[in-house]
Amino acid sequence: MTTTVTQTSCDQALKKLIDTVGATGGAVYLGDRERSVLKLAAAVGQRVANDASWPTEMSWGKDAAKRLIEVERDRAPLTVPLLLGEEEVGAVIVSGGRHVARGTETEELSNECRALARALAPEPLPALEDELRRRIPAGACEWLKAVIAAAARGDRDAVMTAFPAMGRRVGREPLGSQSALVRRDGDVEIYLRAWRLDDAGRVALLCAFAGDAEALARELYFSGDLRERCGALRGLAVVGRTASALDPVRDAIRSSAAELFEAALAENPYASRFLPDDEFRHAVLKAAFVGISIARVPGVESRADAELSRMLLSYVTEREVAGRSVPPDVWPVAAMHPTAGLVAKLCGYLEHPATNHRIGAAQALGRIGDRHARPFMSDRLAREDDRTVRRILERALA
Amino acid sequence: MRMFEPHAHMLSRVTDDYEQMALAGIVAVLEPAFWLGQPRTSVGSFVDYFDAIIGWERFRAEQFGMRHYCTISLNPKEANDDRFNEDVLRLLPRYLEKDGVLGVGEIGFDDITPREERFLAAQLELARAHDLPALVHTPHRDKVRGVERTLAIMREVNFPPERVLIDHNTEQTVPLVIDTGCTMGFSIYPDTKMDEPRMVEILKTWGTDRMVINSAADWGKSDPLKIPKTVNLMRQKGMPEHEIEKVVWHNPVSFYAKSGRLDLRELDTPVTPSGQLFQGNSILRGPRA
Repeated sequence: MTTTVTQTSCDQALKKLIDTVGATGGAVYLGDRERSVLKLAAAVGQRVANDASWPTEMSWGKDAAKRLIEVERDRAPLTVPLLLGEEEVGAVIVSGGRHVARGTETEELSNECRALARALAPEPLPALEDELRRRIPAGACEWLKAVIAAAARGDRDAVMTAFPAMGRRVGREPLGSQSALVRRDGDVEIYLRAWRLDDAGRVALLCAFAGDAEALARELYFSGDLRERCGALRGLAVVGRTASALDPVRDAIRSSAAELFEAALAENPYASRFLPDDEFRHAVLKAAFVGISIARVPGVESRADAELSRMLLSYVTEREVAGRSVPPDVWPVAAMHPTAGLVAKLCGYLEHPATNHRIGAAQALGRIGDRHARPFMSDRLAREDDRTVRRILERALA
Repeated sequence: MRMFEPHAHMLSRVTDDYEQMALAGIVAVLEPAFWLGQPRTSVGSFVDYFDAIIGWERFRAEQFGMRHYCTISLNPKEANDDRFNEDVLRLLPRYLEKDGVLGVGEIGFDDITPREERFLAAQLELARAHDLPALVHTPHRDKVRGVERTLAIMREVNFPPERVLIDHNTEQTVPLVIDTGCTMGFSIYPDTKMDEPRMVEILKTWGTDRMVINSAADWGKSDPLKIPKTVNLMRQKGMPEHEIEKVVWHNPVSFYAKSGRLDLRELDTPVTPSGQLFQGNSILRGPRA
């Protein structure tokens, strides 16, 4: 995160976080990749420990900011990493708060920190430029800079010609970023983990375009080859503002080209936001069907309903009857609106030899909170070896 | 011996052809954009065709371990059709930037009309703008005159001859082209154009510099195995292996490498068919793993 942070948004988010924890002061530090240091970005109050001011810079070692739950006993500071996507971009240090309990409070705190990281995130275009600059040769960078400038002048033809050339110019390898883009108007993270270099370049062009970028993305999709189409779909996640560019999403979801389907739905909040309920449900079901984790569909839990739950359970039954495996990530989603028979099935999957199934089933049962399931959960807990499953079961039974 | 087929309209061929070509040693094929036999009636038909040869046909070829490239253009015959010729020209820039497009072609003459001249010149300009070589078709009728006009237009627009492949040459046209610096293509056909014995004679007479051979296989009576068949005859007639390899590999590869888009390491790596579907379609039949 190298761009200048708007001080007010940072201060506001920090204050909110301090209130959540009940602390007296706190500071936000942002990482400087090149120099491996954390730099002070914002501070509220003082360090209670010695009443001294916050250091403006501190070393950013491998584990410096990773001590998430260093619960204070004697009003010692609490350090929480700032995560954008899955990338650590800095740290928050909170002085002398209340005791932070395990469980929900920790979850709330980490949610607040995620919100803070989103508030501090750069705009999508500079973020993408930064990601690409660190990974592509100088010549490709120069070319990209020139076409981004043309896009920013509203030069539609330049974008239309640069779009197909992107793979040759900047490469087609995975981008390899654990980070996420944040739209100022959406407060949603758009994960970059499945993106390729050419996706990032194409989306940067759409972000830069001075004009109707949504309509342009639609047009580029229908005139594009497979890779261009993926870029246009990922672009809609960043520049899509209305349902008017749903055609490409629908086209991609109808397709059986896994790469295209993935670009339309996985980590793509555009599809999740604008697809009507029935189409959204079918898209989620098809994701499960083609082997894309439905957990990668943004908002799948908030949009889940009884009908989706029924469809997923029916799909599971169909797979079981055919003697085929079932994707474990359907359980927590199906549990949002449990249908008849789900709890019993989940109790069965608590005994599944695959850890992922036990994790999914335990999460789902915790979510449903059916008292009839408690004996089965306690019984499993007594024999469970896996730490994650144990933790989820303990929390669910607490 | 590995071979590069620099001119075959694979869209009109069956999968048996791919299989036979691969078995015979052809590892890469270039598909020039051309007409469809049946005249098109609208620009949309070109869009679908271009999409097919940059996507679907490449996918089909890969199922048989073959690399597939193409050239894109408004073909000479349909340059005469005012229902869409201007629209197609406007379509070209975005297709010329697509992956796997190694040149502008086939362009050139069919009936040698003023329209054909205009679209030939315009497309040479496009080749220059997109830094691509050009594949030039020469007419079946009045071929010598067609070659002369082609060379004249190249000079008029100052297009570098080393970036032009003039195709479908015969004994009559070789003397016109041999000293220009253009690469020369020969289409070996069952009945017309050129056959294997004549081809070997031409190579013996004129040498192998900048000479390439192809099958120009399409929907008519043609034979996608004409390159390996000609190779057989070259061997029988005592041509050295390195000369043969020059004609069927090094010459076509180095010509299309001028596009800057032919990844030579990729050419040396065997294609492994992914078994994936292409936009929902598969040409694989029967049970799949």
